Amino acid sequence: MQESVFSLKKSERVPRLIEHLYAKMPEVEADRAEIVTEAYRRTENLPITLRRAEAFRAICESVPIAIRPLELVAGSNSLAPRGCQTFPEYSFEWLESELDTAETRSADPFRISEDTKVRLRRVFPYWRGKTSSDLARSLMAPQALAGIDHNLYTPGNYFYNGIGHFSVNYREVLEIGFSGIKEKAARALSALPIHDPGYPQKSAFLKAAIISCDAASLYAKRYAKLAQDMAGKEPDPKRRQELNLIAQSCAWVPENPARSFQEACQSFWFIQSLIQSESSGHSISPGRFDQYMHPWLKKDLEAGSITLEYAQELLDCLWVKFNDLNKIRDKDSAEGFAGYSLFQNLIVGGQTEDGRDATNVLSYMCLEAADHVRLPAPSLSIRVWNGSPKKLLLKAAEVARTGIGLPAFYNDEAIIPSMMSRGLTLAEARDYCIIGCVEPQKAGFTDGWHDAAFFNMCRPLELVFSQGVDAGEQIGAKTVPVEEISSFEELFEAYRIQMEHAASLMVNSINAIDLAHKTKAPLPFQSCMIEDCIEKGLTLQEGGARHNFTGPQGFGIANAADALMAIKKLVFEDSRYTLSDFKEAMQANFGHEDLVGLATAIAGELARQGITPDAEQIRLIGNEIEKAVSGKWAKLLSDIQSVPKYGNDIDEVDSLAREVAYLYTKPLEKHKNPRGGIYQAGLYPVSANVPLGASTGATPDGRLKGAPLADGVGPAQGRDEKGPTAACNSVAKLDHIIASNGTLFNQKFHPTALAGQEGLEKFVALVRGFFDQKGMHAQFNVVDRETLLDAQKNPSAHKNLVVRVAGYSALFISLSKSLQDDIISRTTHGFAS
Amino acid sequence: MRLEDEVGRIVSIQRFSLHDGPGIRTVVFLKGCALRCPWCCNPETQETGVQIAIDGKTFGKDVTAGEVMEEVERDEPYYRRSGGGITLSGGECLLQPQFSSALLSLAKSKGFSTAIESTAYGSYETIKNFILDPLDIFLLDIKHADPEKHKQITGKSNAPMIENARQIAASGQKLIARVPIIPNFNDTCADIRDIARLAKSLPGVEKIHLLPYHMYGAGKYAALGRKYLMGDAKPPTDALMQALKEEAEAQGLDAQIGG
Repeated sequence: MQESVFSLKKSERVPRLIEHLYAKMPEVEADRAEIVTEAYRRTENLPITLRRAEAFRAICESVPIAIRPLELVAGSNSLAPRGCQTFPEYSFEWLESELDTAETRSADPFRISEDTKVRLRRVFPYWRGKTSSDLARSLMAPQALAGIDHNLYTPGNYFYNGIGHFSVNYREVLEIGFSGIKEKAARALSALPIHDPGYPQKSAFLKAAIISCDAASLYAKRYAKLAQDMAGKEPDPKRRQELNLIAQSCAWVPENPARSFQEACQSFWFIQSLIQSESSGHSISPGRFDQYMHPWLKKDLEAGSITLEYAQELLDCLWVKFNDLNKIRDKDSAEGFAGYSLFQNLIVGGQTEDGRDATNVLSYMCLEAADHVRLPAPSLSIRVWNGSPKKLLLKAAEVARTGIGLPAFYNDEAIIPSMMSRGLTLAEARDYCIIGCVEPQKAGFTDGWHDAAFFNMCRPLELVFSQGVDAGEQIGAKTVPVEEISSFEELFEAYRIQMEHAASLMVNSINAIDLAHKTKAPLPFQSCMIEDCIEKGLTLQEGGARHNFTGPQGFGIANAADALMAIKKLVFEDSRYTLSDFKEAMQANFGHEDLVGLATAIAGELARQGITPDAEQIRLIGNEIEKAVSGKWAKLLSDIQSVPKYGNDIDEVDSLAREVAYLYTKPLEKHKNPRGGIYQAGLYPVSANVPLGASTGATPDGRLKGAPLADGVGPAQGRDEKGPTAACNSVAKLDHIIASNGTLFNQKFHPTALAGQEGLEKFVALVRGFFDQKGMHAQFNVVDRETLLDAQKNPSAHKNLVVRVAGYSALFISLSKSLQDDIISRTTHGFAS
Repeated sequence: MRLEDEVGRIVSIQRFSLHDGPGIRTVVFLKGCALRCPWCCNPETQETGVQIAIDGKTFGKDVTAGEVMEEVERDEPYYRRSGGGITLSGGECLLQPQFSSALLSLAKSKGFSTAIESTAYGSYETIKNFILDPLDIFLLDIKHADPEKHKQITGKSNAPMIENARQIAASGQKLIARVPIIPNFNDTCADIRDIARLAKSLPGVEKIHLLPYHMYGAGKYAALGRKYLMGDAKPPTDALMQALKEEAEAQGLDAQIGG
């Protein structure tokens, strides 16, 4: 075994923490819902911001708390390990109807006890007609709602949940404590002119901020008391000492400035977990943890008060804790965000604000923690720039080689100019972190609304063939009939019109949701940790952040590009088919319609005539019909297959992909959101390419109805045949810099490709070569196909198999079968012969 | 004539090759070989002429060096980051010396690393005149130390090739010995000891790569309507490979398993 470039011992505590955490199916708890409902009932006469603060205070005062066996960092949002609370103020109807099925569903099942069901059913009636999703629905234009119903786009995430998707100013809380933040708010309140027209709104927030800071401090003190009580009963002297240390820390932080690395870890964790108690928004991202935590580690190391090994153990404990937080989603969203993921993205490396390399010992220790723990959270990322030390990249490659899909790689050389093009200063852009899956943000200064909606770029292409009609309804623009289109340019223009039309409908629905959150769910606790909320006297939801964006993400580029290329070549260049042929083929799903259903109907007819075929005969009839019908389209399908495909470094089709992406990214730039910010496009589907592919008809690239769309900005599944460098080159030909909300490129490698020191170096060179061409992001699954297939068959033997899904990793066996299949079908790059 | 216009016959171009020289490389498989090794994993490269497989697929096409370079240059960012470049394989690239020379010279002029995988077949004059100048690394196939046994199995004695190798090495050319480990042909410690001694005797040679036999090429024989003569011979075990590696090391070489 070759030596690692950086390694520290893994404590025996770590596997025991993990074992405890994963012993049972996660469970839903009712306490938060009850507490919030009660708080809302008694505060109906207060402004909404104060009602939110009172609800948060009530949670901090009385939600049940637990310190789990052996942990060194305390703070759990549920009594059950990996349990979760619920957030009826955003939406609850889906939960109400899924209470009895949550335990048996395929993606992300949750246990819900009978007692919890009774308690939740008691609070739900209060919320009927009062949730943020109710309001959002009433604020949307009817045609925008129709766009959702017809699956043009899916803003379901914020329609039904909190927003999340930010990184707070952790550094400031660590440095001055919530007492310091509270003081800032109090000063702003006393400086607020009484005649200020915004006084009522602003003073409500500033008072709410003060209440929230006190609540957070109080919450920690409850842990101090609990730890002390547990220490009193603890027979093991070593554990007793640990509990006493937890008690001491929780009595001091996060109210006061952290005095040691251990207190900084504890303070950090209270911030991180409490944010996820205030709202159900996910992607609460720790961001540049190695930067803001380093001063405490450095100080303790210099003073000799901590060893690197103990610091690593603390980090490992913290890494396990990230996986303790959980959230129940509705059944469909659970498929789209499969893997119990909260997308807490933590990034290391990169540059300082003044452009020097930012790598420090903690950067390596974070990578080491991911290797020690090998769990999906936090989503670990690494920033790469021309000055990144090779040693750091090699360490990252070593971790990637373990197969956990972490870390993801991000390119400073693309992201910094991208952010500056959106108005950030050079120093701000150099300090970016990644939110959630792949979304760049200046931490502590931004309300990014990343992930605002999924936009399916293949649906507008379908609409070109139906003049905007879907299922009998005119939901798209009424473009010219395809029968009258006589050039590729005209076809492309019709597609452009459908894209712009669908995008503006999407903007309407997102802005309605945005306003609903401002009205129903301003969040004072998170807002007091983001600049310039206190200075402006506004919550994040009211536009308090310095930078405000809305970032919906388009996906299906590869399919759309391959489709347009097939049409361009077969219809307009070779004149072998007409657009009507394509239209007919798409309607007939290339001859793969539900023919067994048809056969059953025929069998019924036979039965009426007194003939009773058995199941086998029905199957044979079905096969015969399929042969007959698909034969008609088999030639077209095979001709489509021979047209060049995106992902093989072929300029003609790659340029089409670039143009397709522009049809989405450019029109979005001109739209504005209600918080005074602009729209910026992302290009990635998370894992929605599978469920949203299921609601997409057959496409001219030969993809059958319901099949998954391409994942990320990568080539369509299995269509890249020239290896990873060709695929990277194709992807790099897209304009990533304009997609400032992030792009996502998955690659899958066979473990042998990364074998040995040379394998690692070549892997790093591949990432470097891709980034030299201004690719933005790349992430890797390093696992062999056989392992994945075996895990499908014998899930119990692969309980801890972590794979990269989209912008995050998840336990393979927790994913739905269709998503598992999608991951298996992505091309694996391995040995060249 | 410009180098770009030099015409040659190739079978395929393989990008992102990790085991045919340093860094990330593009391997050009040239058509035509002087030997007929029964384990050959690229049987479609053996014949000089263009072949049509049973399924209608064509093996072999005539291309200019410029056309090949267009494909090779596409991975320039990865060569730059990894110290990689082009490797000529086959087949035997020395059977097309002008074309090989053009490819190597063009690659060299772009700053790419250049390598060939070759048995050193042919006249030393040709090798010296066409190949060595633009070449960084000669990956020299040595299949056996005994010329008779070599002839018996591959169809040609390797005595002239070894003599060429001696002169190539003496010219100061960087040379790495590569040995396919073939069951019942050269997979004993004695076989490897002899090969390693032979390699060590070449001036300046320090490295030897031991490449375990694999059956990935078996399917291509069927496509060509040929019988796969290796039968069900099994790839050498990891333990055997380790023992052979130690044997090679004992002769004072830096040995590695795989390319």
